[in-house]
Amino acid sequence: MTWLAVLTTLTLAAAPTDAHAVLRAIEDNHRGGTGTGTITLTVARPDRRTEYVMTVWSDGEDRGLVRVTAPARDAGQAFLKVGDNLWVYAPRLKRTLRLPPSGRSESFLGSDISYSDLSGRDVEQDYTARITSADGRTVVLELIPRPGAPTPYGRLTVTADAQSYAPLEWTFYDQRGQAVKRVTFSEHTKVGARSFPTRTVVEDLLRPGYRTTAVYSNYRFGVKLPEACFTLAALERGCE
Amino acid sequence: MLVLAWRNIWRHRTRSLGAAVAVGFVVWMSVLYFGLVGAMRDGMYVTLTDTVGHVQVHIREYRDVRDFRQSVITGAADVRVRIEQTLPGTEVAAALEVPALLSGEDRARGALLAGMEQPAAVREEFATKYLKTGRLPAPEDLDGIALGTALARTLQADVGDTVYAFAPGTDGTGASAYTVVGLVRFPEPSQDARGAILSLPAAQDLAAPGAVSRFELHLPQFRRTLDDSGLLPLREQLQAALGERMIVETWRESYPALSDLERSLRPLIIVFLTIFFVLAGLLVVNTIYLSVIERTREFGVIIAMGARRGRVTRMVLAESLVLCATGAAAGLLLGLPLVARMARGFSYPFGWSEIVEAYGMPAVMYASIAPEEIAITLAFAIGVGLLAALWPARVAGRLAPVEAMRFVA
Amino acid sequence: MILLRLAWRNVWRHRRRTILLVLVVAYSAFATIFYWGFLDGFTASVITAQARFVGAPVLVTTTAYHDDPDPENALPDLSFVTALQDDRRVRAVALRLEFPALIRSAYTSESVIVRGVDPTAEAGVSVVPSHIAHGRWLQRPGELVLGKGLAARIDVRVGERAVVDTAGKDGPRAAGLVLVGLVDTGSVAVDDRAALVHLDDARALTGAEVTAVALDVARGEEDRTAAALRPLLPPGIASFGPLEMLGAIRQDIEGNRIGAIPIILLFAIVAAAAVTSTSVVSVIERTRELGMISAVGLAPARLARVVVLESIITSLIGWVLGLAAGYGTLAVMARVNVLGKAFASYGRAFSALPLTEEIYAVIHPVYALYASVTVLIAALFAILIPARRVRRMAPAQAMRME
Repeated sequence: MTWLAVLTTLTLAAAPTDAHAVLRAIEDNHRGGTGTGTITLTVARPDRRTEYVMTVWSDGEDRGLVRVTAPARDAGQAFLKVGDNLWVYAPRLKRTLRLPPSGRSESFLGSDISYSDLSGRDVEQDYTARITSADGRTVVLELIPRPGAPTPYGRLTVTADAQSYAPLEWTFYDQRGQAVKRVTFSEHTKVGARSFPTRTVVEDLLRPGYRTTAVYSNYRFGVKLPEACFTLAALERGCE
Repeated sequence: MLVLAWRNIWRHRTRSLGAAVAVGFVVWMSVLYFGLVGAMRDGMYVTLTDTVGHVQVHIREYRDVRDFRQSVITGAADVRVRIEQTLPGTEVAAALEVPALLSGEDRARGALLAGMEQPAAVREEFATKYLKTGRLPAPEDLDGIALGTALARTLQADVGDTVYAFAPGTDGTGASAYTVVGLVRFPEPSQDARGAILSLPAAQDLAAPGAVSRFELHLPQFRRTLDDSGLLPLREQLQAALGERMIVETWRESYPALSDLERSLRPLIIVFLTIFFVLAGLLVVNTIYLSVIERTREFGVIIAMGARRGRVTRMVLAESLVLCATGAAAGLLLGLPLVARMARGFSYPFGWSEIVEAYGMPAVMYASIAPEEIAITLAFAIGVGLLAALWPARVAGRLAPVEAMRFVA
Repeated sequence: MILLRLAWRNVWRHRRRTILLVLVVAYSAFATIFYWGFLDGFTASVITAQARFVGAPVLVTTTAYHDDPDPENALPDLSFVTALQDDRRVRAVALRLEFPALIRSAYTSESVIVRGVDPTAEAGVSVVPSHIAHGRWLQRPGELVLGKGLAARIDVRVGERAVVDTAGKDGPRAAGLVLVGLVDTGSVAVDDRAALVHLDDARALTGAEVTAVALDVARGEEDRTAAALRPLLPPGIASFGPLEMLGAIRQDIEGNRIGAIPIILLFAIVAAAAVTSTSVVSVIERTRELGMISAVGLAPARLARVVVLESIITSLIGWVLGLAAGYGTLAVMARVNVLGKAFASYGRAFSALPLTEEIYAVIHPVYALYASVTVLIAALFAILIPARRVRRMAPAQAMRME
């Protein structure tokens, strides 16, 4: 379900330490499991705002499908992610494009998320976690990239609710200690035992006024989605 | 004294004629050479400014903006009207550069699609220079696209094939199919691997209706490097008219590397001129020097007759001056009309113009010479002539009369 | 022989005149030699830059890869490499794996062609490993070396990690590599675009083996050797020299040479005028003296021959001096990098032109011939006009002349 909270879409390996156990708990909240819903994506720039409405299907793991429903100009555009691969469908052309590496730097619908952010990878595979502070209300983890991990960041801090481990904020630092991107989560909802954030804000800290907000609505979790939802056919025709 | 000098000169007609012809020839050659070099320099200037325009209009901070929608000038039609009102007579070209995914049948690449709207002459110039096969998309063509050769290779697309552009999240249709109408060999490898050209309406339709990335202003009155500084006040004027949202830059500001290149031509020209002038100087020196040395005996006679030494020196110099000036005047009289004729436009004979074109020069060039260049030529020819005469004149002035009379050159 | 001795003596008697004529001829010869040495130096430095900095002295690839540089067209097998290693013309062999990729920092990203190399072998075929401005050359997998311009654009510093994204055989692949060194060759083509990784990383990322084999061969022989090695290669695989790799730039370079000819001709005309005027004036001056010799009994035709001989001797001395000065200057400029600084902005403006900051003059014996052509044209005028004058001269009249 967290198809858009991509930066943290995960399949976790066994957590060897406490910190990793916490991280896994945070991620479990984040993932929400298999389900479908509507995302309203607002791309804000210093002098303008653009809003997209899209329907999302996710298997809660590494597969997801997104179809744009509004504005009319973009309706029918669809994106399919299976593992590391990403496909784009253009209804105007009735054609599917598998994203080439040279296209991965382009931004997703003009937002602050690039296609390469979407092919979210296993956080635990790439980072080692450490608890830096924990009080009654929040717990803060520090994530340091493992050697050779394909991430350009120097450090991540993850803030979560100390009780529910609901994610609150991810901050991305460059390798010089400067914060470059912040993702904040709010308006959590209960999904079974989990606390799922329905509002995600991605902020570019280097460029004031650049912000992308994703708000979930009409979500249904725990629905069994057919395998056919994550195929190229579904990319073109949708998954009902 | 000048009259005496004049008369003396005509006493030794052949010798004087030789020296005057030498000076005249050098002046004539130099004027012609300056005119040709000026033509090359201006030709280069015209080629550069034809490609990128004299003045460009961008969104402010355009170098730092990475977000496509933030990088374009919206409401381009209004801006164009304001440009044309502020600087009447300007030819305005526009380009919209869209980052998009371009796909052939099997392969896809990140590409930069440039929607172009150019004056016909600039378009043709571009086509002859860089088009490898086929043609460029017509100005209102919504279907045609020309690909960089390397991009076409990676997409495995050729003329006649269809390619698909994806630019989701833009204000346009976000996706479009195009027919490849031509292949362009961009000189820059990274551009060749990423670049494609379509018409401006096609690019606007795809990604940004009514918007452009930049305007390129071609000011037909600026054809010569020497006038280039005149662009600055016009830039100020246009900046004031367009307001803070946009930035107006001269081509030098937009393309510092091209500006450096244009500036680096100057030392090169100076090297060529030096090599040439040294030779020309030798030609004048040896003629004047020999003609003066030859008359050492005559000077001896004059001194023996009681003339003061300083007077002899001055007399020789005066003679030389008159001689050089006459030659120079003749050289100018013959040279300047020729340059003036070539300033109305000339092209190289015997197919040289094609080679010159391959060099990045226009086929028809316009000779150009600056007043200071004429002054330099004159000063050089006369100065060298005088210097050549000065030493023998001093020798003559210091001679003991008898010795001088015995002197055999 | 007597005439020759007479001419020789005359040459030394009129020292001032001789010096002037020698100077003019020497200068013409000097300028011609200098000009060609410079022009060829420019061309050679482009080829050197292509051979040693940008590409390779000789590159062996599949012909399909030459037309479409994609790892898909990698070399199917490497059995032919042994034959190349044994060939005495081949001085070093290095395997390369090039692939298109996206290179990413925390701030931005850029499309590049990444070159996977064997760090040790690469030093044998390219000078890039020895042009590391900051940090060091690649040693082991997990490392990255970038052109300093590219590193500055995406804002990665030595010691920091950058991400390389590419399409592997079965899906996208990415690796975080630590920047260990910055390349600064002075060639924009390299400094702005080079991205080098260990061959093992390149293989892991792409799933391909080797796209090209780079060979080092004798300097100046690259294109010839490339052609000569082709018979050793299996079908579908070919060797390419730097000129072939230059593509469109090649025509520009050749155009450069042709475009220089009008300038050389114009120069030759002025040189001819200078030499001629010197000879003419010296003959006019010596009218009386020559008249006297003629009156003593030397036939005008023989006298003319003396004058011609004088001119030839003087021109010859000038030519030899000019050659010495010209080749001497070129010898200095072939060692000291004078030209490179003057032409630095060329490489910056035309990054397609693989120019480094070092341009050295070239020395070739044929310039002496070119110089002699310039001098010959000049000398021809210089000899014919005065000689004609002498032949037509009446002794009595000549003696009367002042």
